[in-house]
Amino acid sequence: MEPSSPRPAGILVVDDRADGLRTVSAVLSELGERIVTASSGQEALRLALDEDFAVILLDVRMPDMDGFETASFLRSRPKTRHTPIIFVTGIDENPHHIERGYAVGAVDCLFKPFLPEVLRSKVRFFLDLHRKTEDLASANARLKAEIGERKRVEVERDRAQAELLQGQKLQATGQLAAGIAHEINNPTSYILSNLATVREYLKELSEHLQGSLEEPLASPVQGSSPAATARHRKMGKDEVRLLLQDFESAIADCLTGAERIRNIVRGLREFVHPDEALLRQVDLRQLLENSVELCTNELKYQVTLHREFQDVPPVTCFPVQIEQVFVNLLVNAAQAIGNRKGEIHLRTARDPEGVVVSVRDTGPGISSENLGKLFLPFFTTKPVGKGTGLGLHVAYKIVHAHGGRLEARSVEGKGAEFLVHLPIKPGLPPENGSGEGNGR
Amino acid sequence: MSDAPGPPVVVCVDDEPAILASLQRLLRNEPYRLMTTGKPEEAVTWVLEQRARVVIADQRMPGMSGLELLELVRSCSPSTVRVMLSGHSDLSGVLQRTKIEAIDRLVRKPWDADELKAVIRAFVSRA
Repeated sequence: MEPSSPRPAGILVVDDRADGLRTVSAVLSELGERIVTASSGQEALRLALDEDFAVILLDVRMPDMDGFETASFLRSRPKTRHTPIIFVTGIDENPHHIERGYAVGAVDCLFKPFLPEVLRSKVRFFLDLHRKTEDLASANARLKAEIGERKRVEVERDRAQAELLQGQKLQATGQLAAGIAHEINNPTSYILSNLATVREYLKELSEHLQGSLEEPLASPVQGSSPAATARHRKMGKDEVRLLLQDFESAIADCLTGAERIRNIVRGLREFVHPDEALLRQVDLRQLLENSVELCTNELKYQVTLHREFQDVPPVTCFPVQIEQVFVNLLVNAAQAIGNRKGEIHLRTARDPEGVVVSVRDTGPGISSENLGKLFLPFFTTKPVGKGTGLGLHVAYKIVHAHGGRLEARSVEGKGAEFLVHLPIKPGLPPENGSGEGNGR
Repeated sequence: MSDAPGPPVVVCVDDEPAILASLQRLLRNEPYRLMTTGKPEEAVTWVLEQRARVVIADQRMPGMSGLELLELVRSCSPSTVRVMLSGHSDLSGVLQRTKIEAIDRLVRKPWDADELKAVIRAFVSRA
């Protein structure tokens, strides 16, 4: 859209005869619009390219460049391509003339001598049209600017939201650090200690094996030679068996401990990787499937999965974080079921708040007393070494940061259900709390 | 139960079985008998019954904290050496800085195998 001149667009009157210009100007003066005159096609072109006109009145018969040529030129220039042209021509001209006029882009024709009111009314129509077109254009521009502004605000808000989330994550990281240190310290302690012991075991065993290998050569007769005994402490069968047994359980403890550390770190992944914080529109069902995939190990033996996915609109969120929420809920459900056989029901549905995802297990359920403490950091009902007490807390934090709600329902003995309510777009967290507290 | 003959006794209490198992392994050839339990109350009973030379306690335990346990041992069996085995974050800053009567020695988790062996052996032979 060309920037319109500050003056309202006027009328351009083109005629090589001064009296013609005067007549038309006089008739049109009543309209109160600005009238610009040109006495040749060239002058008309120059003027029309210089400023905007609502309508051009063009005399057909002119020396050098006649009305048709002038019109063709006007039509060929982007600035004047759509300016309405009214040809003014004598009534005696042959019909071919008129036809040609329309062919080169005239929108109307006026025959001389004309009635003043006819001229005025035609011109008034085009003035009106021009004004309306301009109004529309400026309304359009306003709308475009408004949309641009809204988009900008939206981007700004998303960015602020991302920053807020990051800030909350950092704060949460600080709160968690102390507890995590302890959680990691214990397994680290016995892993290191066991490895030190196991190295001794290995030494003892290899000495024993060396002794067995050398024995037949060094002492073919009954009893071992004193020399061999001195170099290699020989163990009795029972001793070897016990050592091997304990070797195995030491390694098993190391594995369990290392897994525990891995789980803690996995539970925290989201808190330490800001790069993964990208807001995207995702289908929660897909995210759920991904999470199930991630938990295959925890789910494969004892758990039967049921899916009841209703159509849900895409949700704008930090997908890696929401995936983490689902993973934590799935692992939690699987651990609740434990070694028994059990079921996990996954459900998605629309919700007044946006979308709700439910993870329900057929485990032992949660006592009403524990239900209130569920989302506190390091709260766990699992035996030492089994749960980190972080999974639900982290899940709670993430959902809260998305402006959603994590809700836990359970009747003791009848399983538990966790409901993740997420808005279609992340809003601000519902309250300013630090996120601790119950899930009600 | 009166004077138990045989090797001196060291009692260790921690609520994490894997910690206890790793200590049993590590200290298997040491010149004392290591008795481990997850229950602070049991630890106190053993300390008294076995006239334990050393008691080693974790700080974070359900029911009774390590410090409470060591306070108890201090009052009922003053000759028993009290070792706190604990991670950095388990003790508040004040506890870490000030000398506490109930604790003769603080050993950090994760412990150094040789250091822990040396510390306990020294305490056992001192008594």
